Amino acid sequence: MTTASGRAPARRRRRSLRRDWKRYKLVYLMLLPVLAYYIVFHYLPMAGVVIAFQDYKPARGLSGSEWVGLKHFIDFFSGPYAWRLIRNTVLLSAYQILFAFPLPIILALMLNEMRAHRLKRVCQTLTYMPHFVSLVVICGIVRSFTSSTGVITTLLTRFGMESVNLLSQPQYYRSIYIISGIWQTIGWESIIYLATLATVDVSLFEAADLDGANRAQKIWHINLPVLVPVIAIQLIMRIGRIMSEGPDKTILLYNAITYETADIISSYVYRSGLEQLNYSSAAAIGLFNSLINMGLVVFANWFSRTYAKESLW
Amino acid sequence: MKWTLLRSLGSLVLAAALLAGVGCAGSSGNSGTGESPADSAVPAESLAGGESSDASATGEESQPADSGTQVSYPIAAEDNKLTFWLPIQPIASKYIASYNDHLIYGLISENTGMDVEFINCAPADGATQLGLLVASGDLPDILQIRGMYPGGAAAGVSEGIFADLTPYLAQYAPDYHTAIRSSDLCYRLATSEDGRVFAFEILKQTAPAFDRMMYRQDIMDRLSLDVPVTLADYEEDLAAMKEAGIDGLLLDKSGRTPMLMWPFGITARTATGDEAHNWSLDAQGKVQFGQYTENYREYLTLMNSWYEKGYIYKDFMSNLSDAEIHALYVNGTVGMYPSAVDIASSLASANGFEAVPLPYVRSEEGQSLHFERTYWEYVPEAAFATTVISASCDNIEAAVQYLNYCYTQEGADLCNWGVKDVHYTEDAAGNKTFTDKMLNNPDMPLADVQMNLKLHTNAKWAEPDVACNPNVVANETALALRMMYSDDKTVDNAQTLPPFSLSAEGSEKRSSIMNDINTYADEMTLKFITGVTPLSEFDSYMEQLKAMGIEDAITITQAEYDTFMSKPGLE
Repeated sequence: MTTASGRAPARRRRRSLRRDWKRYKLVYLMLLPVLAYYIVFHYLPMAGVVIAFQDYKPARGLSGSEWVGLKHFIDFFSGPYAWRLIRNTVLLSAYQILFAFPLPIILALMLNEMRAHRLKRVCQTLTYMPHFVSLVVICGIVRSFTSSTGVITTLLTRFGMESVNLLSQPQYYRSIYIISGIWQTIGWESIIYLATLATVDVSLFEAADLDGANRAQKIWHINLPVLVPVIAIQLIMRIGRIMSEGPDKTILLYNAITYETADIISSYVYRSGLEQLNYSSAAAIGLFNSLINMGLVVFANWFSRTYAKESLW
Repeated sequence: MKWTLLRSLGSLVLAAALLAGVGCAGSSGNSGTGESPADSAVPAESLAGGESSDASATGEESQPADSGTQVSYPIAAEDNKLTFWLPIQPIASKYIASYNDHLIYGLISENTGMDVEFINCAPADGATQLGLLVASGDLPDILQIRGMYPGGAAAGVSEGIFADLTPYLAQYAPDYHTAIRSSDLCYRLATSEDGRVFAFEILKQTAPAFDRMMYRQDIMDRLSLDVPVTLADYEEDLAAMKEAGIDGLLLDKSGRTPMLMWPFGITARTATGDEAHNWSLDAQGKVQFGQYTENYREYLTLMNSWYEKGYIYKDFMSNLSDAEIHALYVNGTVGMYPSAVDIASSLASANGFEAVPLPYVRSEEGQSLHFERTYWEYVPEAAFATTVISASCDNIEAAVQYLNYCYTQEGADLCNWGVKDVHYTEDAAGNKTFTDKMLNNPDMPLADVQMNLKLHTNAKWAEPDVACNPNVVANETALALRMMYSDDKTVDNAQTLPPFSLSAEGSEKRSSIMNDINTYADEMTLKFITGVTPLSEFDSYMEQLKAMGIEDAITITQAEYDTFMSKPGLE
């Protein structure tokens, strides 16, 4: 559709735009508030990142605060915990992509194969229910199940494990974080894949049946290829969030004894920055995260375009 | 006009940058917005004989000599409009939409003749909202900043957004002017290094202490145990409880329970405690950081041995909520835990057992302890109800007179007791008693009365809660438990730092050092107690603290303390 040198298409597009404008003036006017929203709330605020290079004081404002250059970045990186925080953040995200990302896809494929409709619906509802439970409650459940007398701990002691609070053991922290995350989100995240699978043309399956394909072959050759574009885009977007794992769940699950594996950038910023209204250093770390995230998105997009022929742009 | 527009755009920019940049949505910080646990207390004299100290400090006859005008209410001002920004207490917001509908605030407006418009926000958002207000440059006349403004009122005045109240005080706030002179300490805490006043602070007695180690009478009876006094007694009791299958002691989730550290000559903050609580004086009167001392090794060694023996609740370090902690005590899973006395005793009476506050823990009998951070004299309670006037207020004289009202006898009574003959009665000797409307109100639970039919968190001359908190005085048993051991003569605040605020520069420097140190010390404390890291590593822990700059933080604190101690007091 977009040929680089096409003069004629460009002119045609201009003309059609004019005609469009005449015909749908009101519709275009309706677009204005949305554009204004993006400009006011998403583009203008970008100028606010200058506070990352200032000792920002609200009373002095953006123009009156003292410029300190890269001080906040240097402070963060020269601190004893910078690398531990980056490592924990990246590892937590990476493990999630590795373990938690494929599971909703598999669940969707499995649900899609279920022929008993009522049972299928029950399964679907059961799996996406936890999504609607507040994170605070989820974490409360996790904490109580993994306490030294909790259900899961008791179960594990049957297999010879010592009865300890699992959340006080740095080596288990990431597993607990990720497994509970899977439990909470697997059903919800599978919905988009299920919806895509519902669009598959039935005639393809009939043709496959005639060719004598079995179930696995049908999944492999029909369902999966249909999902590839969605998977690619989901994956790119997920990779774009690698550095921005939110603080909420970490704050609810960690404690000082598991800092070693649990403390991530956002929880550290929460503890040291926002609790003390340290706007500038919070903004500096946020900016650093965003830059890394953006780099990752560009990379993932290129990778996907090259190898999966699917991309965001 | 254009400038204001730019400024308000600036605030939008800030808001969105914060939201977009870090994504730390919602979850509230706890910087000074919570209720202080030290929200307490009256000296024994005052409970017995009315409020004699109150009268002397706020009585009309004690006007400062140089005050030309006598302040009288209602205020004679041409412009009687004021705007007042403050966070609304969650309990109050159950009943009213804003303080514009609050009974007592309404009466204060009426009595002072001022037309006050309240602008409220939720306490959890307070700091953010305040930051936005300041960035917008359009400040209300009066702001209750509590501890939410970085650097406090002093920083705001030096940045030119809050008014310096010094020139107005003697003339327009004679009662506050007199009240802060009730003691040398009060005066030092309420004034800056050079004797200036930037804010109206709540003035109150913070003694007797709020927290005790709480035990259970039924467990003591069942195992025939006595009230433990020394650490050795505790060990015996804990061993007996362990035998009986009870987990004994619930430590604070940071592993640092201050009252168990005091016998070792040190103190520290709890998991939710303020950074200021980490600092104290050693036996020689020098500033010390409790977790950077040899004594801390001894404390950790003892806690580690108790943990290994199963005397301490195993999951103490997990993020237990208050409700979970209460359940552990109520179910008898743990035998003792550090708690506010009134909370533990009301839990106990609701669940049919008896709560026993324990005396101060000691290493040997008769040991004197100097770490109780409470005062018998009236002092400003730092960051609790700090109220300032904005520099852009064009009616500062009236605003100062308005705020002064809560330090007059009439205004203080209204805040502390409610409306005379409706909420309380006063006998000929001046003793006040709450009426049934306060103690048995059919429309609201006892715990809510404090925030709705009187004023709790405002800048005022505050009578302590053991005198006039309906929730505390309603029940004689609870009140008696609350007062237990408060007359212990061997306990005082000699080794604590007074609650002064650091200079903006000092506090910034110290907190940039302490961020990482606190992370490290928090982690290692739990590892030592649970035995993940053996105590033989304690020397390298000390080395690491040193490498992270703890000595510099101690030097900064010592210098700030010296400045505070050497600043001019009352002549």
